[in-house]
Amino acid sequence: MRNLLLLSLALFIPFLFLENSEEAQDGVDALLKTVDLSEWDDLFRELDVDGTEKPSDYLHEIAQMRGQPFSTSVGKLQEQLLPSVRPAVIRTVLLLGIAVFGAALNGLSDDSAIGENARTAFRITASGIVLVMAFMEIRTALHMLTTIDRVTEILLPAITGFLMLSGMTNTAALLPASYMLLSELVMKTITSCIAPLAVTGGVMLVLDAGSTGKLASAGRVLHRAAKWILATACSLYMVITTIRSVASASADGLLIRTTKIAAGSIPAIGSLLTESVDVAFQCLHFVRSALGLTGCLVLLLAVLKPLLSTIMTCCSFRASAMLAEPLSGKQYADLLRGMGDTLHILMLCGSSATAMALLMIAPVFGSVGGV
Amino acid sequence: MERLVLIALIGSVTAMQMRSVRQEYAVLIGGATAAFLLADTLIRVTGLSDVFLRACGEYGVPSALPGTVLKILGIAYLTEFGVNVSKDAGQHAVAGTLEIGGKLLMLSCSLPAVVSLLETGAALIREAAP
Repeated sequence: MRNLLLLSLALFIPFLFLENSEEAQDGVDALLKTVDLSEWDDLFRELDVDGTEKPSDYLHEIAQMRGQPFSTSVGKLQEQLLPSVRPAVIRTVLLLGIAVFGAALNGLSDDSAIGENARTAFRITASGIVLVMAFMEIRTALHMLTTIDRVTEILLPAITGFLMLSGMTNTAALLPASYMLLSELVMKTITSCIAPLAVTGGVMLVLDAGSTGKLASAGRVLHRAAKWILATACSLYMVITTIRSVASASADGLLIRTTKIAAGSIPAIGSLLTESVDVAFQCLHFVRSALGLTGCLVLLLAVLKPLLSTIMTCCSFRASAMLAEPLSGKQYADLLRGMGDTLHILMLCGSSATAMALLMIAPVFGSVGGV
Repeated sequence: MERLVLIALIGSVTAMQMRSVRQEYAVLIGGATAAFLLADTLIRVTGLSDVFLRACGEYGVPSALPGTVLKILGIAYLTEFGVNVSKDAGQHAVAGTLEIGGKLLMLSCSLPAVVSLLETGAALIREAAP
């Protein structure tokens, strides 16, 4: 069912990117009416992708945006961005409100021990509030990582199957290998090592607020380790996948050229056959590009909202840290900065995993040896 | 603000004048002025705390935590006020006891926050760990 769905969309998507002509628009409208996009929504519901809008709504919107001025696209993008901005602003105001109450404690005299005790008690309570506020966002970020893995897992058989059908056996063989590398090396490293390290580091930084700073140092070391491991895993994946993609694309290109030469060498009907083979390969290339594009669209739609939410949360924590430092002192600001760093690492994990999944799909719609 | 400054000046001058006549009245006037100033300021701040608590509620933060921040603030200011008045009256033993009482109250207020902090931290690590 999924393969059929993806193939139907593969036929649908190219119309969106054709030049703006009435025929193309009619084709889009006809397809929107006939293609059952509810299956597409079911797939997203199965993935438990966050968001109130259904993917079929997005596709309708994309279709309507064709030929519209650029400002319309920007307006649509703003509509998507604004819902993530409002909670971020409320969060920033709330964190600054806590900083204002912390600043009120600075007014107590330093002679009595009351001031120092109140400031410590405040920092502990503020840490609790910050951790509760970050809890849901960290959960969203962690869920995003599993979503990327599941989306690539679903896309893989559809794309591989089509590549096998179109004779791109080398590129088709590359995909499962790239997926295994992504799933086993990168995603496993991210979910079982980097994310726990980042979250534990963040919790340590928050727990340390108002104490000696040793726990905070350990937290910072964990964050640094998480970043290094992520960078190493990403570099390894990029290098291996790029080499494999180039090799398989060249092999497929060679295969196609050989087929064309072999067809051309047949006496009398050779040139006719070469032209037919050319047309067939061009058609396959067109559908293959559409399939790759659909894969990218699915992945981006699934990841966009949680990634945006994580980015906004990270920005709100960092902005609050910057604004709160002059109000309530360095320790509260450090606490916010620590949580911002944790979300920053999770955001890096999400965006790198998305980039690597896109890199995995990219060879599907790359040109093959100048065919 | 002008009203607060005016009351503070009148209270201070009256207490200073009274000190040479009747020492105990000077202490009482000083204490009453300070109590009035504190109460007036707290009434003005109540609106701010309501906004803060409502915003926390909207965001899904349990009201106990922001409430604790306000309680700590209140206890700290009231204890400081009491300690200063007691010291002015020459009652250092009372001031010391009040200070200990304030510290204990703040400790008891922040204990649930400590528990909540540790629980949330543990839940987060559990969530992230495979």
